[in-house]
Amino acid sequence: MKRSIQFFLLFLLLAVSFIASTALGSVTIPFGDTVRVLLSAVSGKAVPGVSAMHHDIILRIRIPRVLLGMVVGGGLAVSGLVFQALLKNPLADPYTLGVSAGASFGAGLALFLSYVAGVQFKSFLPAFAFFGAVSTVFLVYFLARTGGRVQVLTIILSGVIVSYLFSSGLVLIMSLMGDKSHEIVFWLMGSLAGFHSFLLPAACITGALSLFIFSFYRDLDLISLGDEQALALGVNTEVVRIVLFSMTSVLTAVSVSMTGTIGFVGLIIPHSMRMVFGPKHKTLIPTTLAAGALFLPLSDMIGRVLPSVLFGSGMEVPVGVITSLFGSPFFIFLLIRGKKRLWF
Amino acid sequence: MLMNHNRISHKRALLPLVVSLFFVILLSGPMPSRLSAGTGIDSRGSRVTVPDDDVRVVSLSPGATEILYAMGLREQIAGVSVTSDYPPDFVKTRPKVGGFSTPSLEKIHSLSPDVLILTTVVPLNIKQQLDSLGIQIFVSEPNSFKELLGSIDQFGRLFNREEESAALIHGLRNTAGEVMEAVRSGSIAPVKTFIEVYDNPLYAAGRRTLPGDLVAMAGGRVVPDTDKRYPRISEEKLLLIDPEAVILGHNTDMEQFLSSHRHLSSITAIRNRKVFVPNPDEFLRPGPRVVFALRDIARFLHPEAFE
Amino acid sequence: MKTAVKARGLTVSYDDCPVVRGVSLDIREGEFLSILGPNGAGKTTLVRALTGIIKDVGGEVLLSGKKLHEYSRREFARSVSFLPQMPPVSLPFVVSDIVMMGRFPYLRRFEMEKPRDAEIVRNAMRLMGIEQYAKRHLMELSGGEVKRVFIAQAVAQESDILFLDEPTAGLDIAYQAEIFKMLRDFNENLGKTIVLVTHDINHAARFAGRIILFKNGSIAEEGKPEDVVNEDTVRSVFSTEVRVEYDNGVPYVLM
Repeated sequence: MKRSIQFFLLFLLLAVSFIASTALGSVTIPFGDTVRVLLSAVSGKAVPGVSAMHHDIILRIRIPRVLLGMVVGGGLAVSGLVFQALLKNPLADPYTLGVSAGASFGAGLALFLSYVAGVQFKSFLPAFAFFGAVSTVFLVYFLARTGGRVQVLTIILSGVIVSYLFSSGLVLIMSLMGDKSHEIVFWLMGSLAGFHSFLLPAACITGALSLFIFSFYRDLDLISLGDEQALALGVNTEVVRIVLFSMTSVLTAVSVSMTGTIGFVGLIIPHSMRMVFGPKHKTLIPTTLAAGALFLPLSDMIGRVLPSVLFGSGMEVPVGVITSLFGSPFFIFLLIRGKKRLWF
Repeated sequence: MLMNHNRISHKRALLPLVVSLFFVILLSGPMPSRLSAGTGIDSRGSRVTVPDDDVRVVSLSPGATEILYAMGLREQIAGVSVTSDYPPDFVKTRPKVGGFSTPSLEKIHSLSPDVLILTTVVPLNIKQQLDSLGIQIFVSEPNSFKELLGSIDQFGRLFNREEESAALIHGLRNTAGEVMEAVRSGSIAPVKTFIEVYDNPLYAAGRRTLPGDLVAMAGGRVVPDTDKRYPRISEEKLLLIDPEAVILGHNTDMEQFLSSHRHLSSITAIRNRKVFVPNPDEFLRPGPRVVFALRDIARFLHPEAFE
Repeated sequence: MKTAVKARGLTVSYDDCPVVRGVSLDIREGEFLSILGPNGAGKTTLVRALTGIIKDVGGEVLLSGKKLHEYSRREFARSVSFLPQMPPVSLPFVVSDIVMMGRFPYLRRFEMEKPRDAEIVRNAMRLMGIEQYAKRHLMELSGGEVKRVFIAQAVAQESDILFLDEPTAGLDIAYQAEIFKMLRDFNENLGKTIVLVTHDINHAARFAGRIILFKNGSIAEEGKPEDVVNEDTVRSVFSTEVRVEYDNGVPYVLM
């Protein structure tokens, strides 16, 4: 298939994902109405004939969720891509360095402090989660520094250790909170509802960081040759690693702090894109961003719609469950088809 | 002639006998005479029996603690959960044994209770341990006002305080009745009310729960209309349902609620700021104070009826 | 002859174990230098230190009179190439992509590859005879062809100095001779400075203009092949008895 057709299909899927996620939900809204409301949102004019309730559902409930899903999905996918390239590990994902454990701990801390002090920290939860996430990165980096050079294996090990550290902290908090610990559990399951007030800054940061990461596409290509060769060709591997790890960790932290830990996106999207588009990061970074942005809202939509269709209930399956359920078979399918273009 | 003589003299001899018998009966225990153990039936339908004298109870249910206190039990309450906080001065004196779902089995066992009162079904591992320690479990999980009164009645039978429990039931019925009468007299249509027990994700209390029942008694029509006790609901569905009033049954306040539900501001209840946070200890706790919550909610839903 | 790379008192230690002990040497511009020595002598470490791949070193290295750490990696890469012994084979990139990577030192962050870059890549591939493999994956090529790809990459790098670590290891005889001939070609016709670490004494002696015998982290012998390679030096450096024959003045080591 020609490259340009592939790009077009990707873009088409992105549009389809956006429209489908906006048009479908636990409440049935006629498709025409959805389209009219979307168009009116752009033009700013009111839409006659569409009930205020439908209007609200689309613009104030679904659209923020979809946009958040696109920002977070894209961010997690690109983070996963960079982690895989830098750690030269196909199993790496954005949470390898313990970012998710730190974010969960931060979130748990916010809930715990609300519970203990009686003050409502809940609306600041993303800020707590963000700082938790970023702290893990610093901690991992300091742990991994041995004799001036940071080895890849040491980074991974430090990430594991720091993960365990923060996870234990989280379990401690949960046991102290006793019966109220279900609040943390909900957050851990990952969700695209809530915290939409942070959407705009998150989108800007994600966009800016993705662009910044994109400027390193050649460095990322060369690093796959091996550190020695990359150095010999002029890549300052240590600086590139530090810069990219920090930026990607911030990117992951921004995503996780708003939605909780949503797994699988950062692992399978980069691999899928690699199988379809090849190994060059100049193509991979934008396509991974787009694929992540289309995958997450779509998964969320399925989680919102499926229980209504099957059980008629207002239940929603957490998006993290859907990403795993639908992600694994898809990945297997790609694996079988794309044997020739395996990375490892 | 001789028989009459004998009868009169027999009667005279009988009197002291009858009097002593009377005292013996009087001193042998409250009338009518009972078995030396009390029996009650819990929410699971299980029969539980405890001795009358020196009965020892550990209550992991704050609501049950309040009920037992209202029935006059004091030292018999050998231990309470950490969440039992009413009445404060009394509860301070009682040993603590942990939370709802995190009780310290050691502590409980050290208090040698005859029965352990819980609000929900026990996790299997804890139940097995309790069984092996010979501690009986009494589950009290009332899902309506009527079941709450039934629970109080069973407690009365269990602890041989039937008069006290009857008095308590009577009092609660009266207070509830007054509130319901006031609401009825206003003859206003029931208010479509949504009871939020958690916000992220959204969980509601259905009518087949104690909070739901209280709201119904207070003149509200509980939405969503379902048999499920605590259904999860999507925000879209909530917009569709469009409740007229919202009652918050979790740790929050009105300002927090309004700011986190801004995107749902088209809902009638939110538009009109008809949101109420009853005292959770009165609203969510199956104890005597539910009638206060009932009254507060009724005042909130039908202010005109209480002018 | 000008000095391209100069090392003074170069010392490298791993865990307090010195691998390169205070080595001083001059690499002259345009020369073909071969470094020989037994396993573990420290030859590869020496070259890694000379190319700045190992940074934690004592002493100093100068390129064209400027200290190594005063160069940015990009700048340095414009003058110096390094081919490690084991180039990665399981790479998903195609040959032309890999050769194009040699242009990295000349491309700025958002700069696109220019027609000139594409031409340099084409020429490099043609020079190494791998043009027909341009769109093939590395995994499909033989060992010798892979080596040629990476040499082409070094050619595209347009560096004046090439360091190679055992470029003929594991290749069959035909390829071995070919690589050495190619390097001589670079040296004589393109004026490149070649520094070669190898086990292949005979090819080194035949093609190199200067030989360094390296043992236990220090230079044992140094000079023209006919001066340096003889039975005594081989015995002392390699701890093995050999016979050395001469063919047109070029020494041959026979087992």
